[in-house]
Formats: sequence, structure tokens, C-alpha cells
Amino acid sequence: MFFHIVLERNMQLHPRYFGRNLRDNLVSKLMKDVEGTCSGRHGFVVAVTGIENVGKGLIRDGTGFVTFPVKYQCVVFRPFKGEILEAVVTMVNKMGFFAEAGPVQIFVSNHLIPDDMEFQSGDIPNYTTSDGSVKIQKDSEVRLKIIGTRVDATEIFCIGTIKDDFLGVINDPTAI
Amino acid sequence: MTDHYNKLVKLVARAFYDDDISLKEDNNINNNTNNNNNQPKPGKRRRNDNRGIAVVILDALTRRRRWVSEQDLAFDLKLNRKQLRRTLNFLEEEKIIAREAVEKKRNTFSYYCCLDYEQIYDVVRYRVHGMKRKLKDGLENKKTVQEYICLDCGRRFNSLDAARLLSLEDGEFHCEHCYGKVEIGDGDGDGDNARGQRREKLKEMLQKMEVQLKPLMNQLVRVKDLPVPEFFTLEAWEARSRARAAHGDNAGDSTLHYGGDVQIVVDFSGTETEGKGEGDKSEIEDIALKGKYIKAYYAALLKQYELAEAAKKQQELPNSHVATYDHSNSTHAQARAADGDNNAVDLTMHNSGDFQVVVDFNGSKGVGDKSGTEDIALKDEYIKAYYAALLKQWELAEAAKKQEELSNSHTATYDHSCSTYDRQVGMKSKSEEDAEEDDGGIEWEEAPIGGNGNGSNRAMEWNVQAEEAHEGDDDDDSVDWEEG
Repeated sequence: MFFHIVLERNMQLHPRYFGRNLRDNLVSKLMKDVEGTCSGRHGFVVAVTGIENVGKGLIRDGTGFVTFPVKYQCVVFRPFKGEILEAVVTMVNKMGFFAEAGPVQIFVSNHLIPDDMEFQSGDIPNYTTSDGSVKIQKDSEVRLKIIGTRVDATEIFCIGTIKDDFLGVINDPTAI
Repeated sequence: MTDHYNKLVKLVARAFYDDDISLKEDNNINNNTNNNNNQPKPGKRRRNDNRGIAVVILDALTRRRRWVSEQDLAFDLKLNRKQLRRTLNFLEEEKIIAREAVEKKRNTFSYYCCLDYEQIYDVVRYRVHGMKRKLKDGLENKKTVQEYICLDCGRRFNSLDAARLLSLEDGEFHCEHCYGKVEIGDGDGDGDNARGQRREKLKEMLQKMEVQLKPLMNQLVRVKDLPVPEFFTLEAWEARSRARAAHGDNAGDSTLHYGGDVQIVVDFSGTETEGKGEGDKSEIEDIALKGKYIKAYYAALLKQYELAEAAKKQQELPNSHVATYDHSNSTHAQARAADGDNNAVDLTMHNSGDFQVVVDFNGSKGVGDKSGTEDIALKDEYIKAYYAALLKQWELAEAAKKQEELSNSHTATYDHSCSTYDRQVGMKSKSEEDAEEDDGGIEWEEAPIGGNGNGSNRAMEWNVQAEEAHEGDDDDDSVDWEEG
């Protein structure tokens, strides 16, 4: 799920950026630092959308770096148990397949793949129904449901299922 | 309606609380599990066996259907007070009963408990829902987290670790410690065989549960549209009983009977046709209602056998009612009340009885807000039963003449629902009056129980009751229970 929230961060800025463009430099550095990171608490930071306020800078003794407390608005993505996501399959093996929904990686084990889909090893490993009408392989798009998340301080990993109504392949790359 | 709820309570008690409660208290995890299978462990030693105590207590509470001092309850059930309290604590935690403490003296509390019907309904539904969901989830493998075992070092992983196990070289899973091959492992064993067995077991359990809980589910459905029985707080209840005591016999009895009688009639409406809406009180032609009145009429009629005295006055009363009946209920009630007043000079008791029955009618109509569906078959049954009762009537030697007169008038006016209705009023008032004379307050408890049966058994039941006279109250209870 996506959230638009306000976060705070202490930015350290090198003295060479001091000048007229200090603020612009600060913002661009913030974006570079923050976007794409993951915190267990808030999820993945997708984009910084604005700066709420920049506090007074504090010059560090010895280094000359300045620390600015910056409050910024950003969009975060945090997967939840029970959430339905659309994801792209990145890797298929006999244990199941891995998929990615944006920054988050999801594993679907073979017990959570419908019983009528069988693993086919070979050049392109895939899961196929007995009549061959549905195929899951690399780059397939699937709709899946998250049934478990593992949240570490800097990492979120999910397991999902496609064994439910309206889940499964939504776009087959070979059919295009 | 109370009877339906009571039946629900009884079913619940037997379904969920008939095993040893102390065990549940120990592990306290049974909210969603199937408790029927929760047998006490043989190895475990317990101080005392509590099995079934909850059932006994809940049954006792359904008979009392009001606030009961725990001290009295312990005394009545011949239970150790400590044991009782422990069970009640448990039931309170399960949200089956409500309890309140009253400080009698300083630092001396006496505890009261009462069935909390409204909550019982919700709690039971939630519980059944939880049980079903759990079994179904297990069956469909929806929530399983796959386990993996390293073949070399025996470490266990689950699918949440999959990202770390995945090796980019060959796309297979390898142990993150020893880089050995990782295979699928199962919690209880390995492979699909154990899984299949577990599925079978779950499926069986689900089926069993559905069969065994069927009566309970039916009762839940039946109770669904019924209003919840009045459930006062202890304070309100005490205020009522105080008021009752203060007002003396007459007023007090009438309030008592109010509660009881409403329950009788309401029960009829629940079992067959749901009664009528409050708005259309004037449509007495409704066949379903007619059947109800006939039924109620039996109640009164058969009770009458037991009572030889006051039969004459009884006859006078109904006659006057026939005249006034065609009006709407409210005017009817007023006429009735006036009527009672007329008699009051020589028969105060009668007066109170009569009045109370009028109230009873209003209650009966008000309760089921659904428009009734007529059940002709039921009606036929009533007619049949009615004749059976008539036959029986003939057999009775004493008061034969009076009875004959009565029955004549009934047959004559039978098609006319109004008159039977009326007659019922008369009879009822009388029977109630007598009940009052007999045992006052106790009657409040027992009378509604008699009205618990349904359908064709009703006439039979009343016959039995007539023979047993008033002392067979406890029997009534058990009969009702089996019947439903």
C-alpha cells in the first residue's frame, strides 16, 4: 500500500555546497540519499514530493560539515499481509517462483501455486497447466496475494499465493 | 422469545462447555479450536473434576432468567461456592453471563449473575465462524508457510528465507550456511502423503462439526429475528423488584405476570407465524392468529379443569367480552379493564388477573413485527387437537355440567376467531388468577416454561399438564427441552 507521509532526516552537507544554491543542493542530495531506500517501519521510499521545512544548520567541529534537520514529504510503499499486488515474475524454479512488485520481492512457493499447474524444467523453466493454456515463466505478470511478510530494519521480503479466486497470470509475454 | 434464547443457551452449554472448564482456563487457547475434541490429558492430575458444571449452571440460569445471587445459586445447586465462582468467572470471560457486585456491608460484596442473551448470540456466532474458518483455511492450505530442510546440516528454513537461499548460479535453493542442497520439508513429516492425511482429517472434522452443530445453527437462525429478551442491569432489576414489593400483591402480581405471559404468547408467534405487526391490530381474521388463540385457549381451558371454584363467574366474563370484542384491540382492552373493575367489588383477585391478560395480548402482537404467514396445516392440527381436548373434557365427571355449557358455546363459535379469542381471555384470566392464589411469585417463573413447546405436540403437552396440575413444573421443563 502507498502512503504519503512526512519524514525527517538529518542531512550532512559538505561546505562546498554552501552558497546561493544551498537549498537546491540540499534537496537534490536528499532525493539521492532517500529515494529507493527501505525502512522496516515505513517501507520503501518511492519519491520525495516536497520539503516541509529545513531547520537551522549545525556546523560540525573539525570537519566543517553542516547538519540540517530536514522535514520532507514522500510517498512510501509498504506491503501488507492480505494485500493483492500485481508483480512481474523474475525467476522460476522447482520450489516456486520469485516476482517483483516495484521494489518489493515476493516468493510464491509451489504449494501456493494452483494444483493443476506443473513445473516444466528446460531452457525456460515455467509452470504450466495440463492443457497448456496458462503459463508462468520469467517476465509473466501475475496478480498475487501477500500471505506473509518478513520485515527487517532495511529489508522487506514477502511470500505470496496465487491459489485463490482472481489470482494468477494477468498477462502472458509469449502471447503478445 | 426467552424460551428460544434459553434453548440456545442450553445448546451452547452442551456444545462448548460440557467438558472440563478448568482445563480451558489452564491453556486458555480454545477460542477458535474445536472444543469437542479437547479431552483431558490422561497423565494430568487434577484436584477436582469440573466436567459438566457449566452446563448445570447455565441450565439453572435459564430456569431463573433474571439476576441471581451467587450465594443462592450455590445453595440451590448444592455446589461449593468456590467452585461455582470459578466456573462463573470462566463463563463471564466467555461473555456468556453478566455479573455485578453489590457492596452489602463495608468491604463485603455479594455477587449477582445473569445470562447476557444479546452477547451470547454474538459470541456463539463468532465462535462458530472462527471454528469454520480455521478448518477451511487448513483444508485449502491458504496460510501455509512452506518449510525447507538442508539435506547436509539439517537446518530448517521457511519460504520467508527464500531470497537468501536462492543461489544465482543455478537458480536452486542452497543452505546459506553450508551451501548444501535444500529440500522441501514438512512440519509433521515429509511429502504429500502426510499432507493428504492431514487434509482428510480436517475434512472429516469439518463434516463432523457441521453435523454436530446443526441444531445449534438452526437455533441461531430461529433466534436471529427475535428481539432479545429484556436484560436489565442489576440496579434496574432490583428497583423493579423493590417496586413490586412496595405495591403489594395486586400491582406486584400483575407486573410479574406481565413478563410471564408475554413469554407464552410470544413463543407461539415464534414457532409458527411470527405474530402480527403492531400496526394491524384490528385484523383478527388472520388465520394464523386464530390458531394461536385456539392454542392459547387450550392452555386456559385445560388448566380450568383443575379449578372447580369460580367457574360460574368465569362464564359471565366471556359473555360480556364477546360483545366488546369486535372493536380494535385497544378498545377491547379498555372494555376489559372496565369489566374487571365491575367485578372488582366482590373479586379483587379476579380483577388483577383479568387485567394482566389484556396486557398480555398487546404484548403478543407487538413482539413479532413481521406479517404472519398463514399455516393452514397448523391450523388443522389445532382443530384436531381442539377436539381431542373437547373429548377429554367430556370425560371429566366433576363440573361436568359447567364444562358442557362452555364447550357448547365454543363449538358454536369456533369458526369465529373472535369468540375463541375472547374465550381464551376469560379462561386465561381465570387460570392466572388461580395460579396467583396457589403460589404467587413462583408461578412467574414456571408459567412461561409451559408455553415452550410448538406445533402439534402442544395439545398433548397441555393434556399432560392438566393431569399433573401445578406441581409438574420441572417436568414441563424437561418435556420442552426434548421436544424442540
